[in-house]
Amino acid sequence: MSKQNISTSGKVKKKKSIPVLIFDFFSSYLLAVTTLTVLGLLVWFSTLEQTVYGLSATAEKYYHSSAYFVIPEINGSKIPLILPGAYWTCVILFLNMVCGGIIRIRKGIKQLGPVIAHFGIILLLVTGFVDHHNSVHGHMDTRQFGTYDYAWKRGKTSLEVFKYDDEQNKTPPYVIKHEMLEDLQHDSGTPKYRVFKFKDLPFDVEVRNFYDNATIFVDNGNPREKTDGAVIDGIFLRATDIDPTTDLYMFSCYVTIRPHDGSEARNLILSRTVNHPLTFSVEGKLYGIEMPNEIWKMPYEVRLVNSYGEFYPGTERPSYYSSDIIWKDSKGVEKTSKIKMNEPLRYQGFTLYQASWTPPTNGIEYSGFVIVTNPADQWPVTCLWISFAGLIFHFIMKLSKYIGKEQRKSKPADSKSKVNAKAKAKANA
Amino acid sequence: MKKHHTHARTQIFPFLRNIAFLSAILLTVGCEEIPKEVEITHQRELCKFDENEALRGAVNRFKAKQPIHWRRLAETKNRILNYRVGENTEVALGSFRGSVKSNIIRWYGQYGQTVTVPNTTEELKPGIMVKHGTMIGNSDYYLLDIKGKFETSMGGVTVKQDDWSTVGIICQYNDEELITIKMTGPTSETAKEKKNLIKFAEDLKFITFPEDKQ
Amino acid sequence: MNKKLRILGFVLSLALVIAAAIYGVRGIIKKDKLSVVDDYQAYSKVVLTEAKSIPVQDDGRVKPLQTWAETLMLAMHGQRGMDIQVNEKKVKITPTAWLLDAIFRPEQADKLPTFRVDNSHILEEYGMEIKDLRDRYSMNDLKPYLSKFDGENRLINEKIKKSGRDSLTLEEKQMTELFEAISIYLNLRDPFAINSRDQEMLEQIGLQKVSDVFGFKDKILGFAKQSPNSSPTQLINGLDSLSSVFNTLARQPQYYGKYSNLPLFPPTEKDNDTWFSAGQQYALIAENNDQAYQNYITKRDKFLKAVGPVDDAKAGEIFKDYFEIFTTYIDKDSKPFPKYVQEAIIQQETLTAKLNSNNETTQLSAIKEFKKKYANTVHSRGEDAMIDTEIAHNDRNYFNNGLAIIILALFVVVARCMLLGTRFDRTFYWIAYAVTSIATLYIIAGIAHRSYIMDRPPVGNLYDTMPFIVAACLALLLLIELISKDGIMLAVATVLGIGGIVLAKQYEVSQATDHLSPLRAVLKSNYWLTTHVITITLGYAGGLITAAISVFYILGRTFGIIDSKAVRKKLTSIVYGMVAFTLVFSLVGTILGGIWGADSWGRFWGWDPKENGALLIVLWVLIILHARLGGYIKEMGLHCCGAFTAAIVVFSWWHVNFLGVGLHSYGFTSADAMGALWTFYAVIGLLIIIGIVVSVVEKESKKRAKLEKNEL
Repeated sequence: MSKQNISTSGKVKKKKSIPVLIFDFFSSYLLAVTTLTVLGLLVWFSTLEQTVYGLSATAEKYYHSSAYFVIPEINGSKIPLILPGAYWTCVILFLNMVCGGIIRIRKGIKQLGPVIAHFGIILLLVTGFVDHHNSVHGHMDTRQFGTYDYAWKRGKTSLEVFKYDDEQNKTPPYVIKHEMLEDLQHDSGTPKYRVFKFKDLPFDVEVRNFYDNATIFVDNGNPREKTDGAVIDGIFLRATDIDPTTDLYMFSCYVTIRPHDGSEARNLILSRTVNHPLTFSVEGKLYGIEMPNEIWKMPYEVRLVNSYGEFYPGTERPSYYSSDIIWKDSKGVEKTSKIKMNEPLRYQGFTLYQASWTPPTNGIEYSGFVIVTNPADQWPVTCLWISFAGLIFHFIMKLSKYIGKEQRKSKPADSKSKVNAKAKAKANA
Repeated sequence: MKKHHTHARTQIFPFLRNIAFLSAILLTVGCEEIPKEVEITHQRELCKFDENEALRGAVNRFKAKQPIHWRRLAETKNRILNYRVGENTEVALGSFRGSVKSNIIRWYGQYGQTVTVPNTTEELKPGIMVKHGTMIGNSDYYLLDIKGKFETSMGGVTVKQDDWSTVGIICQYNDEELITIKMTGPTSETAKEKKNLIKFAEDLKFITFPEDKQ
Repeated sequence: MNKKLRILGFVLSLALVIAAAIYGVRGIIKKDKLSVVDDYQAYSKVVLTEAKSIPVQDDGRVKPLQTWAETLMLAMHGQRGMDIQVNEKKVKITPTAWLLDAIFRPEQADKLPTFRVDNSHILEEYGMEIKDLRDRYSMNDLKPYLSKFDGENRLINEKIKKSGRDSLTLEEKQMTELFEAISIYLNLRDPFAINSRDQEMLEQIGLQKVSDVFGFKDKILGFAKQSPNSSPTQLINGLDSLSSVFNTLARQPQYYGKYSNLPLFPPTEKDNDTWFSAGQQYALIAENNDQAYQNYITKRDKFLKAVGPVDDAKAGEIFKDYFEIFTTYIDKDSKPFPKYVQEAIIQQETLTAKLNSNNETTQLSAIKEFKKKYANTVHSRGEDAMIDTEIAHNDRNYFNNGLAIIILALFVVVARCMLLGTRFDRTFYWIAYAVTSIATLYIIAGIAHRSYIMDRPPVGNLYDTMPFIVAACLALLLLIELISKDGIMLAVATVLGIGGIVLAKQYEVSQATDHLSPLRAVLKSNYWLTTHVITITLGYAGGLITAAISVFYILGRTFGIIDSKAVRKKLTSIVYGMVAFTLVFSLVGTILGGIWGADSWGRFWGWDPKENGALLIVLWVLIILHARLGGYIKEMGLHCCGAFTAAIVVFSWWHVNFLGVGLHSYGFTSADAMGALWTFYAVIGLLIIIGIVVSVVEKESKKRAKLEKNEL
């Protein structure tokens, strides 16, 4: 790093090399203030936008690594402002903190606190990045005595296409993921579409007019709205507003099955609201297609033995939930466990949380779990302690200095300084 | 004297220039598009999700084996299993608490025909419907076959069809539950599909729920 | 200090004091015409003292009747207590007295001005003669219009079902609030009053109260089996009448009992947590018995249709079968009332009768007897452990009294301002310090007491954050004052304290619920409630102190009160320190919240509005610190940013609760509150603009002065 002269008058500044310029840029206070301000704006706009589009969709728009830039909205109207996505802003912030907060910062006891605190926050950002790329969250809705080896992902749909075997049992489905569908948003003008081909299926699937949230309506001849899709088999899709309080999305789309043998194409409506596959036949074989939330297969099974919930007496406010489960791993080893609110089960790299509970229906008990796998699960605790240590050290040091200064200001002249003053006066005389 | 390194204040304009440069990179990278044609190779392992659709929120509690040329459509409250055959013929399975009698009267009514139906299936006369065989849970089922001009109203819309036919299967499964499978369409098509409908009914089974295995 | 400063200080302070005083005493000086209720029979103090500790179960916990009464009264009346005029004397009706009337002496209660209506014009539409725009009405005032209200209520409910609550107009929302209050009020009253229409008939057969029905089944059967001299026809007709009477009596409280919300009775089973309302228990059984009566009528009619016309001879033949149908209805199909329900109804009837005697001794002994009857049950369940201490908490009224003490402190601060530089200066300074400290300790005592009653950390819901933040602000400012010793922090403390407590009172009235409520399941973790919630709340307090001092600085510089560079530098250092304090607690609190979220919901961070709000505070204070370190903001810039911290804290503390989304959405929506929030943001914005303008103007004038000096 080249030395910079504080006073520039009359002196020629040495030209900096490119790496130095880049380092200066990434370690500057102005970059820190800018990234923090951008992050603040993103957080604020996303908080307001959630009330319209729900949490998952807004988080996807602002915070996903695929969001390179964001145009915020307020009450559904776009703001004439382009901001970088939060993920990439955090990347810049990370670089800024490393360059400025660790490398460039003055080293000494006075800066020890901030350095430690910066390190803690850098670690927290790293935790965030690891969480973002490696953690998986799923929901598991269980029914008493049922065995479950899968979870579904909130806010993520998938399109599954599969063949039925001779007994009309499902075979492993091909999965088209959410990311391949979400840009095909329905449009009253020219529909956006994409054609999906499959290794050993005798047809292609063309998807168009994807809805984040739609309801199936029966065509009764009632007046149609602008967002209404085509009528197929007497039904059509109509876009409906997302209920931001539930954060549940009824993804839907239009699909055309195009057989390779040139036989008649088949149009279908798929929707998350339909909890079973639709079927069609090509070349004398039966196939199924459906649009569930993305399914996450587990390497273990969970069986709900019973669930228990308590309400505060005389109210419908839950006071306690717990579930007894049997966890059976891939080797067949069983583990019995009780999961309670605030007391999850951490086992074999997964964490199972008691997320929701409903009272029994017809004597059958139910329980809702959230399953998470996240290598950075326990890292925030470490980050917390490091940041706290740095901050509190610096704060106490500054406070002590301030108190000392104030006390010195308000203290009357002590005897030593009086003696010094007298000696000085004598010497002058 | 101590060396004094200061963190000199960054100049605003070069800084903004660098920000613009960074943004341009992001914008370029961010404008990546997914191709119009994609080959899907990823297949998911089968799991419990695929075994029992009733456990994942479907209304349907039946395991059915459908004729391959039938297309299964989305279920509704009254059409637990809902199929389309060709363009015009519909097959719907329903499960009700109602009576055999009221269903028969309603179905004949759609053809403008009034029938006198006894209170119990035991008293049924041939010509209205016929005891045809047994299906789910070894319960007797009755078959009826109605032809003529079809007219029905639903949601304020009236549908009229000439030379239409309804082939229906009614099964009083138990005191509480009545199962109906109704095929409605052009007479020529329903005639062709009648034996498929009967096979479909006879192959019908109940999905096993977890508590049933306890 | 110069004269100009003292005058300025005096004027501003006086203005503040007058505003605070007007607000504080407006409840007293408000021209609320006292309702005249000349025949009102007030309870004596000793009766009310006994009554307020009657245990009841409400909102998931057992509490003293006094707490329940205060919550209900706050919801309907907008205040804890009402004043009426009885024979030209002012009489104060406490919440306990009001609730006792509402339950046991409804004729008295109906005369009291229970219902607060903020916009009386909504009542004009029904042909009512209104008083002031904002006034209180009694049930007697509203009774003639109840059927019209019913019709309107139905229409509004349909509108809500169709288009949601947000589609209602302001007037419709106000009407809904009134209807809900009326509904709650009517459901409080004792449901065992015999309908006057049936009273005559029942008295003929010696039935005067509902509990008379308990032994009546046997009486009816006895009646039916006797009467050897009556003809069979007479017997059959007699049986009909008896069955009708039996049903009439059973029907009495059925309709009102169903909605009767008086959870006065503990359950008899040990593993049952839910207290019961005698009316509701009665109604459950009465409903079954009504169905049994309908079945009896059907069977009887079918039987009589089959037998054809009945003469005496035929009556004799069919009597046995007829009697069989009758006894099946009375004896088998009609469910008996369980002993515990019978007991509860008898107790409630006795209490009603004795409280209506208007005799102090009778009333007192009735209440004591009632409590004694269930004392053992309540005690064995451990549900009476906190009753007395909760009454002490209610009576001490910590936060109201704390407000009074802080207002006093403000008076002393103002007095000190007038005496700056004189020999009384320091005396008044220390008096102000002492009074503020007492107020702080009193509020802390209130918080601690609440914590003790609920056996949980001090902050468990939104209401709890307010006194806690007030106490934290006061304590921190007193600590800082110990170091700075110039009285500025004292002034800021008193203003913040008054503002905080007033906000808490407004919130309490608007919500009108018991804030000593059990926690939601997901919050039931004392460890996280202590660590995360308290840390975050301290962060809010730090942010508010930062903003308050910055606002003082901006106004001080604008009006030339703080000319001294030393004072300005000191305030700047203090604000900088508070920014750092806010950073420590907000950052740590936010990360702790994430760790708690990871434990409870499986994710560290969900971009939930409440989480975002906390993050915004952290980001903002980091921006301030780094901008200052980088030299991008100077002194006024720091204070303008400091003032903006208030907007960020208020957004995180309040605004996010009105968004109604996310896992943290324990909140509510309110158009009024949103209006207040936007006004607050506007005021902060204005202050920041003023600060910038002042800074620019000062800079320019300094430049000009320098230029002039150079020219010279």
